[in-house]
Amino acid sequence: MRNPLLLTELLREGRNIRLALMVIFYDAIIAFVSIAFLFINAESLSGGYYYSPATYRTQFFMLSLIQLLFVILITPFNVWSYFSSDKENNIPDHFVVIPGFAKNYVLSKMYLIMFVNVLLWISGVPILTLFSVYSGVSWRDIIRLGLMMILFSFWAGAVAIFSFSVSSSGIRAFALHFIIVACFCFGTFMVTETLRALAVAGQNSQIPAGQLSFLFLMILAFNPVTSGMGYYVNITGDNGIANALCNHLGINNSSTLFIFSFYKVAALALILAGIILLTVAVRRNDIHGRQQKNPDYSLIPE
Amino acid sequence: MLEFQDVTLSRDNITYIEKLSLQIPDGSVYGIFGMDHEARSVLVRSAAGTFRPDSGRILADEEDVYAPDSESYRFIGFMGQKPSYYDKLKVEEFYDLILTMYQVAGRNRRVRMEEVLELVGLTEFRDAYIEQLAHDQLPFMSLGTAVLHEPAWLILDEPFEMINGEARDRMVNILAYLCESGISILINSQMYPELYGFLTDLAVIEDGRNMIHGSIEDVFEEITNKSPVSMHVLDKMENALAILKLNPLVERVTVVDRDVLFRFTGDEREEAQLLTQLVASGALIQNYNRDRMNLDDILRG
Repeated sequence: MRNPLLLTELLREGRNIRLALMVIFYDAIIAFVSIAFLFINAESLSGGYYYSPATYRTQFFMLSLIQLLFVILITPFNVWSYFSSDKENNIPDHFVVIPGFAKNYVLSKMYLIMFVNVLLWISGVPILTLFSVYSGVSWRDIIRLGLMMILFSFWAGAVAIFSFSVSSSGIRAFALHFIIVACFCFGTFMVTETLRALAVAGQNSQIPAGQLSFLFLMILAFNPVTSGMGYYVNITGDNGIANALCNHLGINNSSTLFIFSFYKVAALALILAGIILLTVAVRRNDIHGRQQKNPDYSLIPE
Repeated sequence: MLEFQDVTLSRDNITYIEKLSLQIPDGSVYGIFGMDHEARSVLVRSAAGTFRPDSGRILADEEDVYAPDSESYRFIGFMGQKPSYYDKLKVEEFYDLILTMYQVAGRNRRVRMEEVLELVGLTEFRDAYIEQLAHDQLPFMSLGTAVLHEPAWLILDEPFEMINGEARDRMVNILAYLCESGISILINSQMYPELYGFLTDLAVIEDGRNMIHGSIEDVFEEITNKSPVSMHVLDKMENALAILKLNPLVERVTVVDRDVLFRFTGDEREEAQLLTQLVASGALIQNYNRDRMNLDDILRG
């Protein structure tokens, strides 16, 4: 069913000077970093450093990483802006009574976030293409970056929308967003490491028991760094970091099944986490489904 | 009919409305008045579906407004205290969105938009961005969004808050037109004198409860009957007080020097009998009259 709010959100965002400024700022960062890499490489070559495709692929990965971090960092600011302007204009007063509005509202914000981030990626493609021509990076890697941008946009957007739906103020929502991101990024590592340490202590062995490996994989699947790791391996072909981590946790990463499926499962896990967070956000804001608690940043008006 | 059944409304440990029951008949222009501005606003917002009650039910044409599959939103239009709109949209685009949200389709859509734009006086501003509208045009734009889907009930929360003078008169005329076209109106407003000729019924909310309600005439009569009686006693005050104490229809007796103020809930004949008893008791009463309750003070809050 068509979301009637989606066109409205796209119109509003398109007419806002903020979007143009974001694109300019984003492209400026990519261009500056690309130029810096070109300068470093030229200096290296003149100093007798030999031509290294691996170096260029690593630089492309770093360029990608900057863009992905940009998505994670800028999304809560955008969501804060969307929610605060809607609240200022009393949007919910009129529509909250319509069943299904909460779902359409949350989804339209989600689509808008993904649209903006994909637009940023598209705006940076010419610069990436030039860099790729120079460095020999494949067009497939640029497409992979686009897919990673979509994945991270969805996940970061879901976390931000959830945070602003359950918090009573913008500051708290902002803080909650980064706490959740930290839990996903670092908390999962800490949990696996703790379980590994307990298992090792219990067995007097350096390597935990095999049945724990599956549990570690499931926990790490929800870590966005895992998806990033898969992207890194695809771009650079370097398995070193992944091998070290897997050996540390007792995971056999040489099997065909692992190589083929784990990073894809990690991407699906992020999508699943995003869906869960969005579902909670919708339920939190649906006046027909729950008792009203009146937090300032929910859709429910004061 | 719009009906409140034992409705309690509270937020953040503040109870605004407690176990209120009220029936608002079809075709009426029903005013909500009282001292507590917040309670009145919360009450009309709960009827519109934007403030869920803690207990009790609100029925619009026998349908629970807050039921999960309620269709009551189709025949209720709500205009809040502050205008609701999407910035960066034009008036026509916003109205188009409203029509989509309320699933108004087909040829009716364009016709209805033209009608509402003309009704609220925004035809020449249809291509203007909403944020560019003048301050006193926003309430009219907001009223337009409330009636676009041709509701049977129009609920207004302080519709005159942001406008004055000629704009207020225009708003009243628009509401009168809507009433004549068959829309029932529930309105929370402090504009009592201006609405006096427009309202058909009213309710006065006091301490979160329905104090008085009914047609304008019935409410006035009830208020008049509840006006306190004041009398000036020159001598034998204790005799007069003894008579008042014995009479079950006398309430809240207050004595200041030689002035006695009390509330009498009986009818005219019973009041005449009380006066006869007071005189017969030997008390010297110099002045006896009803202190007319100031209706303005009650209805203006």
